[in-house]
Amino acid sequence: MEKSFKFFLIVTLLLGLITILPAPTFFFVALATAFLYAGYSESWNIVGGYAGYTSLGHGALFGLSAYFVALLLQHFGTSPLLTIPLGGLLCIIIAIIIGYPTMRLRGYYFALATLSLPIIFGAVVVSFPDITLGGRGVSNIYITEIPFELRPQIYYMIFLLYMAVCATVAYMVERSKFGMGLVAIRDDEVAAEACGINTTKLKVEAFIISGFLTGIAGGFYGTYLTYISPSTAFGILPSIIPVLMAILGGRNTWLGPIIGGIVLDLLRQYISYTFPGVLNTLIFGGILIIFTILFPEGVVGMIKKGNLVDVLNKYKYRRIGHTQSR
Amino acid sequence: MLEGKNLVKRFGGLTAIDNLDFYIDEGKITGLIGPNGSGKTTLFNLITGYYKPDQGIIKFKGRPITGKKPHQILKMGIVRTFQIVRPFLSMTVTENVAVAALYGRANLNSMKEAIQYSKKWIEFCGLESKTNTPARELTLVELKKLEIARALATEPEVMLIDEVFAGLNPSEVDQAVETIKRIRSELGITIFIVEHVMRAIMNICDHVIVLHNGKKIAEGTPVQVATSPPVIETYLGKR
Amino acid sequence: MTTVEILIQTIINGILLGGIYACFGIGLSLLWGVMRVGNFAHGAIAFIGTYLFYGLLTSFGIDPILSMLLPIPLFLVIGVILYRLILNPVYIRVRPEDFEMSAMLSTFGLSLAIESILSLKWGTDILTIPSSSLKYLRGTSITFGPIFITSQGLLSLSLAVSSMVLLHLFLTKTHLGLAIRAVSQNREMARALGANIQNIWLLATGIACILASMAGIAMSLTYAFYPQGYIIWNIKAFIVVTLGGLGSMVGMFLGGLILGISENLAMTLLPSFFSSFFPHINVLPLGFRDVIALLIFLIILLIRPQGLLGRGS
Repeated sequence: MEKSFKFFLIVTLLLGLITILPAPTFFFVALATAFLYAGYSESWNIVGGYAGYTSLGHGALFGLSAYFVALLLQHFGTSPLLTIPLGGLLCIIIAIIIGYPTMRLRGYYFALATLSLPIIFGAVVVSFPDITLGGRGVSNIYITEIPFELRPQIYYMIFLLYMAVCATVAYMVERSKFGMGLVAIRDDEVAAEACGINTTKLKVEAFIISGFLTGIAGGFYGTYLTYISPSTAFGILPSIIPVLMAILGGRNTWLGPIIGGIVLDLLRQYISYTFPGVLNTLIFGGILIIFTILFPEGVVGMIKKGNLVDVLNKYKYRRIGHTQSR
Repeated sequence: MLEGKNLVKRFGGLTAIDNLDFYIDEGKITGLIGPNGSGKTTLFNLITGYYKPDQGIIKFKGRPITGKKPHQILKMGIVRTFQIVRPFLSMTVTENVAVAALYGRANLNSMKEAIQYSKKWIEFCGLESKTNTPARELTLVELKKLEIARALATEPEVMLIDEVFAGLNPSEVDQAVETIKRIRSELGITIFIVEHVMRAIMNICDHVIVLHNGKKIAEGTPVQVATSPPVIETYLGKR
Repeated sequence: MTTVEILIQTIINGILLGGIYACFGIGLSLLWGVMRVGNFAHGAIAFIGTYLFYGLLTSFGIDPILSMLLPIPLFLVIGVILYRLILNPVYIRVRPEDFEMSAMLSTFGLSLAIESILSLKWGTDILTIPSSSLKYLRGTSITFGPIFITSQGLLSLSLAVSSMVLLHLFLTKTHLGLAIRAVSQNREMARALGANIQNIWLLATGIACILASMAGIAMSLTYAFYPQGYIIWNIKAFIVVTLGGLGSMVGMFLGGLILGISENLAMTLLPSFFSSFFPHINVLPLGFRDVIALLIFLIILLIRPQGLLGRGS
């Protein structure tokens, strides 16, 4: 087992033990969403990072599951504890249905096609207000089994666990035959087929894993916020945030989305609290630009390659005359 | 062993393969030559499942393979290399070959086994010094060797080699010729090779097929083909 | 109105809208063709054009045509900044296969920054170009019986078409235009023939920004706008480029027309309960017509992955 993964598991254990200690509530609250997004980003990375299919529409699955859980609770009183895993399964089905036709698309077109999915889902939700309560959103989404006073700690634990599970899945994928196949698909799908890889099958499998984990995240998210609406569930944020986290953290590794997720989310929270309204979009945008230029392979990616020094050397990758330009 | 009958492939208004028959003998090295655009790579794409023929069938060891997908055809025993090399750039040499070991006919399941198994093919192609080098750092010659090593790691019975000699200097060409001969003699793999470099074709092939505008215009031993009138006409023009 | 008349009106509206879409597409397509950059900031830059136009018209009462033309040098500068500060650094540092994605991400960041700056200056209210400030450009609608073409619509369309014609002339009749086309088609060859790629890219970025501003102005002549509104126009621009394929001005125009006409047709023909507008919540500023556009886009992508007129590769 890789040293860093062992280290990660130990850290996770320690973080888990903190729940017993009387830490301030905001500690649990701040880290809870960070863990959730880190895990969600990790699950995105299976399709977007390893397989190289940059999906800009994972938010569609995220929101779908959130709505599924919320509506079943709203109309039938079914406990989220039951429906959240079902939400994951639902996402698998939808991921396959959408995945099959869109899989044929080249990277850039795939990104555009997936971008339109959350928008379409959001529109469908708003168009049937009798079922979905339309633009008002659904409120009062609670897991009643969780005592109110312990909510911060329990959600902290849940999301920590979720993050650990996602990281473990990614870690195992990375080391497996399956993972090699995905990376081969990313590097050159035609060559991958020529090596015997059933690209369609592998891609569907990746969608399934990613879809399920995303669905779990979405399902829990609704109960955490206790309220969802078309804009929170299907807006641009749930689609773009996991992408940013994975890319800035490092797409090629299991650790990247975790680091990227936690750091970026904590940063986001800090910025929204410190700077008023519109200014934080400005800062966020600026950070995005700077990070993309300085850390093209993500923070973890560059640390791995020992390229941190090269960041300062602007012309390392100067490619005039590079033979492999496409 | 590998044969095609009445093959037709059109792209829009262009007929790339025009009622073509071909037959590849087991254990032989067969060459495929012809001017640019005569349909050579298209034929390879048809055989390996990247294109579907509009008409005709392709059979391998008596079983039809027309319309099967590339990975299925690979599993049956036909592998191809690409004219413009297609390495997995983010991986090392070993990892590149390991992919083939995992998903080819060796069908290995663990990375450890695959890496161990890959060593054999890396050595066969003379790439030992570069086992852990990322593919993006290799020279063109090394990339071509990698392409061959990866193809070998899929344990094929037939290997389709697409213009591997392009861009190599004479000594590299000789080296490549040696390797290809060894593939046939030591590994018993049947070879079907597309080439422009005449020196190589003359040297290696037992049998040559000449293509022009998607049709077969000559067939035979290298010498026969080189002296046949239609071939001379195509390459040098009518007198 | 009879059914035929309704249909004709719908199609006319579609053409007017399509022209604007096409105008958004050409700047994007230029940059994509020359540099392989999917400029996510295109819509935002267009909106800079919109707001500058608005500002010049309302705050300073400047002549409308001047207001359109004056900012053009500024957009060249914006192009230079975009290139020098973002696109070039990304190109230099990033592996070739990662370039597309990094360019997309960094331009996305830029669009966020632009959006917030616009919000800071003009707030989040929905604005329109007051027709009084349009002075002599203000006209009455042309009518054919019950069918009418609004004067603003015509203005938008004329601006869009002029931009396209000018771009076409530039690309085909000038030396620089030829260089740009050469680089789009075969970068290595162009370089071998002596083209300075970096300068060509710089120029193309500048032109793309100017085109973006024209699109933004064209849009504002007919439609209302607010800082977050650029998102949907941005997406439509990408749709148009995908539909029309690359390197084809005609394709772009057709793509825009198809999009505009189909949207309007769908809105008219589908039962009315589908066409209720969303409330304009900040992250979902869309109407059902946009969903239609996306569905059409998806369907076309799936049937013909290389775009309608594009050369698939």
